[in-house]
Amino acid sequence: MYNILVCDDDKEIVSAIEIYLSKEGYNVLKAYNGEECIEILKQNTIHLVLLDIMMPKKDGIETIVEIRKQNSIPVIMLSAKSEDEDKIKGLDLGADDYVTKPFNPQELIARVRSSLRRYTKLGAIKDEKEENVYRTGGLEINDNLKKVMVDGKEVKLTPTEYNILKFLTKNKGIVYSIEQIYQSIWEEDCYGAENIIAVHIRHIREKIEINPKEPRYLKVIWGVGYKVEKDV
Amino acid sequence: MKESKVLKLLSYILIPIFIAIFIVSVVYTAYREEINNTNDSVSKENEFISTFMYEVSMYAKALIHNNDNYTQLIDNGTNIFYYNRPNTTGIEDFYIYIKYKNIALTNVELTSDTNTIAGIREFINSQDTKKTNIIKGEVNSDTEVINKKAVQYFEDFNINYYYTENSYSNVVISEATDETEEYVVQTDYIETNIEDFDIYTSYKENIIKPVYENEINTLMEKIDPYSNLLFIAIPITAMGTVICAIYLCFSIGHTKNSDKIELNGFDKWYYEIVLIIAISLIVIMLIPFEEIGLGAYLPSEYSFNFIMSLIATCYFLSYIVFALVFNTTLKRIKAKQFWNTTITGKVIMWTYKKLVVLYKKLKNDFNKLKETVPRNKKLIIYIIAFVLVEILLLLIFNVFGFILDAVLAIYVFNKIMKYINSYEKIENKLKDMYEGDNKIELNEEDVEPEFRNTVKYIKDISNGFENAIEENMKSERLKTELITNVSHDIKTPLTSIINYVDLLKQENIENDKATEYIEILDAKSQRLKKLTEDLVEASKASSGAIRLNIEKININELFKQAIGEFEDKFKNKGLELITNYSKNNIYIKADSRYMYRVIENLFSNVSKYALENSRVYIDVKSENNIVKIAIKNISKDKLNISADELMQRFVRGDKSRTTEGSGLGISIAKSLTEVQKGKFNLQIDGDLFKVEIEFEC
Repeated sequence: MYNILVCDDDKEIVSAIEIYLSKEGYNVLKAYNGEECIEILKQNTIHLVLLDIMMPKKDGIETIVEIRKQNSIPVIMLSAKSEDEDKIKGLDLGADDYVTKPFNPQELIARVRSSLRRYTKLGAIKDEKEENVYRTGGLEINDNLKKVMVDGKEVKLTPTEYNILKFLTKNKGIVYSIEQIYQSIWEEDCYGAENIIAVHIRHIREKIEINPKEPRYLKVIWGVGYKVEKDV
Repeated sequence: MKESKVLKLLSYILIPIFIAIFIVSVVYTAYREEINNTNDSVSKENEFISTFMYEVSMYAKALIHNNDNYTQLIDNGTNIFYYNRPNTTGIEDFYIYIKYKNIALTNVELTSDTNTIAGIREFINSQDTKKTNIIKGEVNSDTEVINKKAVQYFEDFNINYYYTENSYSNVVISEATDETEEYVVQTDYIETNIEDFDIYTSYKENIIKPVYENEINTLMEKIDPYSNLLFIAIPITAMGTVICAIYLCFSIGHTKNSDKIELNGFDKWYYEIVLIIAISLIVIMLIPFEEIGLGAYLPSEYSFNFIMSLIATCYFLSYIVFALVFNTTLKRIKAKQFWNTTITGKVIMWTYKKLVVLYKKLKNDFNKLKETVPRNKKLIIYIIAFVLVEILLLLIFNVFGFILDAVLAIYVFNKIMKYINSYEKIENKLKDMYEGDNKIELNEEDVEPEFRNTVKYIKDISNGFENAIEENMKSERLKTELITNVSHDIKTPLTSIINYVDLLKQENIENDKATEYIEILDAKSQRLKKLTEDLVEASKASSGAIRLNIEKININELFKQAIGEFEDKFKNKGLELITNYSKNNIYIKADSRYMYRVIENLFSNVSKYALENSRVYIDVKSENNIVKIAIKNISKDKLNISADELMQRFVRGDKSRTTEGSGLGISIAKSLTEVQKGKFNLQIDGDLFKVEIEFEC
C-alpha cells in the first residue's frame, strides 16, 4: 500500500485523480497548496507526490525545492504550462516526471506506477551487472531470456523489434540512422525498405513508452536517426 | 599691505612732492644746458668786437681818403687830422689815434694839450677806460676778446686807392681795380694793410653779460647753489614717484574686510564727464604757468614770490584733480566697470547690440529668402555670380587674377564634388532602406547643408518604419502572451472535463443514449484539448517567439522517419505513397523538431483530407543549392477555397468545420517553415492539392 500525495488547487482535479489512484489500490492524501503539501509530508510517510505548479500561497516550484531539501521520493509535476522551458525547469529542480494538463488519466497512472516501481524496486538493484543484460532507466533487456522489461513489467516484442531495441540499448546514447540500423540488423544494404525501420521503431515506442509521442527511452532525432537514452 | 590707509595717504602726499622736485630739477638742468649751449655772452662779445673793429677800420679809411677836409696840424713831420666821426656804434667814450706813414687821424678834440702826437696819446692813455693798441699788426688790448679775435677783422684794413702827389685831395674811385674808371688821372697807387697802421684807442667796454629775464631765471639763480644736489634728486624722485605710483595702482580700491572693489557714487559718474571737468580744471590751473613771463610787468621782488606761491597752489590743486581721476579710473578698471561707466562704452554697447539684432534679422531674412528661392533659380544666381566674380577678378588683378580665378574654380569644383558625394550617401541610404535593411547610419552632419533637410526627412521615415515594425512585433508578442495565458486558464477546467468524462465512461451506464452522449463529450473535449495546444503553437510560430536550435539535418532521413510514423494512418485510408528522393542525402540547416512538426502537420492533413485509395507523391530534390520538397495528393472533397485562404488560421477545406482538426495545421507549418528561413507555397489545381517547401542548402 503506497501513500500518494496529490497537491493541486483545483479540488475537482484532485478528486478525479484520487478516484483513479484509489482504483489502482493506492492510498491518496490531498493538499490544495504548497504549504499543506509540506505539512502533510512532515507528518506522513509518503511514497510519491503529484504536484501542480500554479498554486496559491506556495507554488509547485518553491514546494519541490523544499521537498528536495529533505526527501528523495518521486515527484511528478502537473502543469498547464506545456512549453519546453517549463518542463526543463521542473526536471532540473528535481522532479522525476512532468505531465502537462489536460492529461490522459491512463497515462498519469502509468507514470505514477512507473515512478513508484523505479523508486521502490529497481532502485535497489541499480548497480547490479549481469552478462547480456542491458539497462537504461526502467528499461531492461535480458538477452539470455530474450525478455524486455519496462519498469519491472514485461513487454512483448517481435523478433525484429527486439533486435532493433537490443542494438540501440546496447549502444545507448549513440544516434543511429535508419540505414545504419538496417545494416546492423540484417547485415546488408537497404533498398526501398527504409520505411520498415521507422515503422518498427514506432511500434517499439508504442509498446515500451507510456506516451509514444513523448518517449522516455527510445528517442527520435528528426532528420538524423534514433537512439536509446543513456540516462533516464 | 593693500589695505593700509596710511601708506596710501603717504603715497598720495609723496608723489606731488617728488614730481615737483623732479620737474624743477629737470627744468633747471635743461635751462642750464641751454644757457651754456647758446653762449649768449660769446655772441655779445662777438657783437662788441665786430663793432669795435668796424669803427677802427672806418677811421683807417677816413685817414686815407678824406683827410683834406679835416683840421690839420703838422707835428714833427707828421700830418695830424682831427675828425670826430659821428658815433653810430654805441661804443661809449671811444677815442682813437691812428697813424699811417706820415699822416695820422684822431677824434680827440684839438686843444692846447692835444696839438701834438704825444699830447694826443697822453690824452687817450689818461682815459679811465679800456685800452687797445694795434701796432703794426700786434694787438695789445685790455679786452680779452679783442686780443683773441682781432686778427679775424684785419682784412678790413686792406684798402686800395689812387693817390695824387700834388695834393692830398684825392678821388677814391673804387677799392678794386675797376676798368671803367680809367679816365681818372692816375698819379699813384697805394695799397695798405694792418701792418701799415699804428692804432691807439680807449673806450668803455660794454659787453653785456647774460641776464636772467623772468621768474624761472630768478628761480634758477636761487637754486644755483644747490645744483649739485639736484643731480642726485632726479633719479631719487623719479624712483620714488614710480614706486608710489605702482603701490597705488596695486592698492587703490582695496578696503579692509572686503575682497570686492567698492565703487562710490563718484565712480559711477560718466567717465567722459569726469575727464572733461578734470581737464578743464587742470587747464585753468595751468594758466599761471603760462603767465610766468608776466613777472616782467610786476615789481620784481614781489612778483616772484606771488607767482611762485600761485604756481605751487595750482600745481597741488591740479595734482589733487589728477589723483582723483587716477583713483576712479583704476577702481573702475579693477571692478571691470570701466566701459560701463563711459558714455563711449555705453554708446558702443548699445550700437553693438543694435547691430547684432540687425545682423540676426538680416540673416534670418536672408535665410528665409534663401529657402523660398527655388533651387534652380538659386543655381542660376550662383552661376552668374561665379562668372561675374571670375571676370571681375581678371579685370582687377590682371595676371594675378588668373591665379585667383583658378583658386575660385577649384573651390567651386570641390564644392560640387561634395554635393555629389552627399547625394551618393543619400542614395545609398535609400537603397539600404529599399532593400529592407536599416544598417547605414546617415546623419545631417554627414552631408552638405543643402541636403540636411532631405536627410532629416529620410531619417524620420526610416525611424517611422522601424518603429512600426517594432510596434507590430510588440503587439504580436503581446497577442502570443495573451493566447498562452488564456490557453493555460482553459486547460485547467478542461482537465476536469476530460477526467470526469473518462470516469463517466467507466461507469456502467445502461442507457444507450447516455453512452452516445458521453462519446460525443469525449471526442469534443479531446478536440478542445488539441485546439488549445495548436493555438499556442500557431501564435508562437507566427510571432516568431520560439527558440530555434538550428542544426544540419538529413531531409531524406526525416521523410523516412515521418513516413514510418504515419505508415498506419496512410494504410488505413488506402493511400499509396510514391516517394521520389534523390540518391544522395540532402542536408539542410533547420531545427529538427520544428521541421518534423511541419512534415507531421502536412502528413496529418494528407491522412485526413486525401481521397481514399489514391496516391500521394512525395518529391525531395536539390537544385542549385535549393532543396525543393513537394507533397501532392488528391483532395477527397471539392476545394471551393483559394490557396491563400487555406493558409490562414482556422480555415479548413470544408467550410462547414465538421471534421476533426483545428484548422491551424497548415498555418503552423507555414509559419514554422518561414521561421526557419524556408519558403512555403500551396497550390490548388482542381482536386490536386500541392504543397511546396524550399530551403537553401
